[in-house]
Amino acid sequence: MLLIWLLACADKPAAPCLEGFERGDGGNCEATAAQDTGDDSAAPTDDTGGATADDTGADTAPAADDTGGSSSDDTGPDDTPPGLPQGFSSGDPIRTVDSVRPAIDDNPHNGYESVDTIILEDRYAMSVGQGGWVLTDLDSGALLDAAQVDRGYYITLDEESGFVWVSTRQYGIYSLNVNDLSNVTMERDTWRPSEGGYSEDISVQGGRMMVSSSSGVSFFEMGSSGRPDEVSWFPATQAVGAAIHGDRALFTDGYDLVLLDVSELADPAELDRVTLGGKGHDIAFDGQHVGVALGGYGFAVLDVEGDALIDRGDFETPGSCFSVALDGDYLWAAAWEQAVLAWAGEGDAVVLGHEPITEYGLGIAASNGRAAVADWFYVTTMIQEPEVGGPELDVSDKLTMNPEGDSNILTFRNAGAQTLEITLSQPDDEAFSITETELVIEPGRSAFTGVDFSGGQTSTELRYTSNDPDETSGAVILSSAQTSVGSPHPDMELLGILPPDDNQTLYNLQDQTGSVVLLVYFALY
Amino acid sequence: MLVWLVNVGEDLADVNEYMIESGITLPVLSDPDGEFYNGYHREPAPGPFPVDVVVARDGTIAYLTNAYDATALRDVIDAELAE
Repeated sequence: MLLIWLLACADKPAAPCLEGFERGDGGNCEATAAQDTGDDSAAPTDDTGGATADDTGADTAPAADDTGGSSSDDTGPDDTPPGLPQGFSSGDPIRTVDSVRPAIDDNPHNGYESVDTIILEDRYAMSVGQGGWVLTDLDSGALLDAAQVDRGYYITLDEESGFVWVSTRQYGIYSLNVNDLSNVTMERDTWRPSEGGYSEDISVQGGRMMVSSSSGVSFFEMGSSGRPDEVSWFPATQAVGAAIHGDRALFTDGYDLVLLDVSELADPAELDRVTLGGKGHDIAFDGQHVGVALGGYGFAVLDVEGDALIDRGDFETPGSCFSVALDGDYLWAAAWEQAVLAWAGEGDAVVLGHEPITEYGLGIAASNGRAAVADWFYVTTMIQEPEVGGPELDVSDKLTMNPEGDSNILTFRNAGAQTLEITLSQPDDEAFSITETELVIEPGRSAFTGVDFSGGQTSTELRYTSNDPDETSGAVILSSAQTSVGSPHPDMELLGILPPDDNQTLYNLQDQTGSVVLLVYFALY
Repeated sequence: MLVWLVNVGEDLADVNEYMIESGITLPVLSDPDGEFYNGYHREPAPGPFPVDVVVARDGTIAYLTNAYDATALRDVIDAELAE
């Protein structure tokens, strides 16, 4: 049980707050100053980002007072709503155009996977993953073409040569000739940087290439033919994200973001290093604005000013965030559950809105107000409404409870730039009840309702309405868990292998009664 | 004690390639549609993986988490092995 929540009152607003919390101006239970740590930027430990008491009201995203757009003095003559950048209006900033699932050999059960994507000719998106590459139209979202090539994890475009470079991790790097999109060819042999192990992220700009691996980053001069010429190496302890632009290069090194001067590519020099709010993954960098995906801790917005990195804030995402993309002053982020659009231009960085995706957001690219999401076995295309933002509701779609009876909390977060108002209805199933029916949440803050469950095997909907323009109504499934600590593990019989042998055999958990069994669920990402 | 890795939703041939590259020789089971993976009661977490489950000698679930904690996991396993 997460915590003991006493359903002390049905009469609002007298419901008690947990120890360490107090009712704020909006009537919500919020962390007291002592608990609102504000130190989430430190290297995280086990902060799940979920519905724990310590998290509530202690978010890393800028609070309303921090956004600089919340006072009347700041809004200016155009009456910009609080929290939004100057001149923006209230509304839903993202619309999904289409989401397509490319099939291999027209077999609907055998699809192309997409884990990273780029924009070509400001018109197409090329995505890679297990299976090969997929080409979609950036305006219509339609599937245009696909072909089987080596599995790719990261993809980048060399705009000068018209070659696309793909990092495969364990097998190195190869290129695709995309100068004629009706005849895309896998052009060059797979190769690896001389230093480091698996190749991770890859970035090409201005005739130079940067490749990260776990033990450092490699720099290359792009030749006219053949593989690039390796000219230098910069050591790291856990490099993943890499981005080069002009005479500056960035890479993530565990929880650090490192800025290098690469004006002398043969001798890269460290200029600055900052600690991120989570372990760094993908980087977007246009020479000034920087976005960094932080896995379970969302994403960070920074600027490069001369020789320094300027922190502009961290932002939580719905699910882990592994990819970011810049489109002018806008930053897009792909999270497991939704795509996120943020403002990275002048003034305060703020999240403008979220948009649901089909499966899992793994990679993202954007250009001129359109975005393509590498959405695991889908490619999802989105379009942006310029200079628009609003409140943004972020809540789990389900809450499971101990079938023996349980009390829990359900956290609602406002990830957007305007005040979020939510009305909750008591569940129809009397086995469930909630403590709060009205929540008012300032930008970047969270609030929760207690959920009490008397027990049994049942489920119901907790319905709500909100002023989030793209989520005016919704429901959270409340259900008793089928499997929890103390209950018998269900009968489990699954096919499996014993590497390196790829012969599949049946593994039956019940056959192991009398032994202690550790099950570790995982995916390759 | 047995350690079974359970892959969710991916091709076992690809998983095997990764295991060979990584030198891992533990059994890898496939839960292709997440039937078991999605059935556990667990708290929200920053990411979907890993999920660790310790099944006791009597077949009940002794430990279940999606926030990897090596110390807690070791303590639970030690306690269950001592049963």
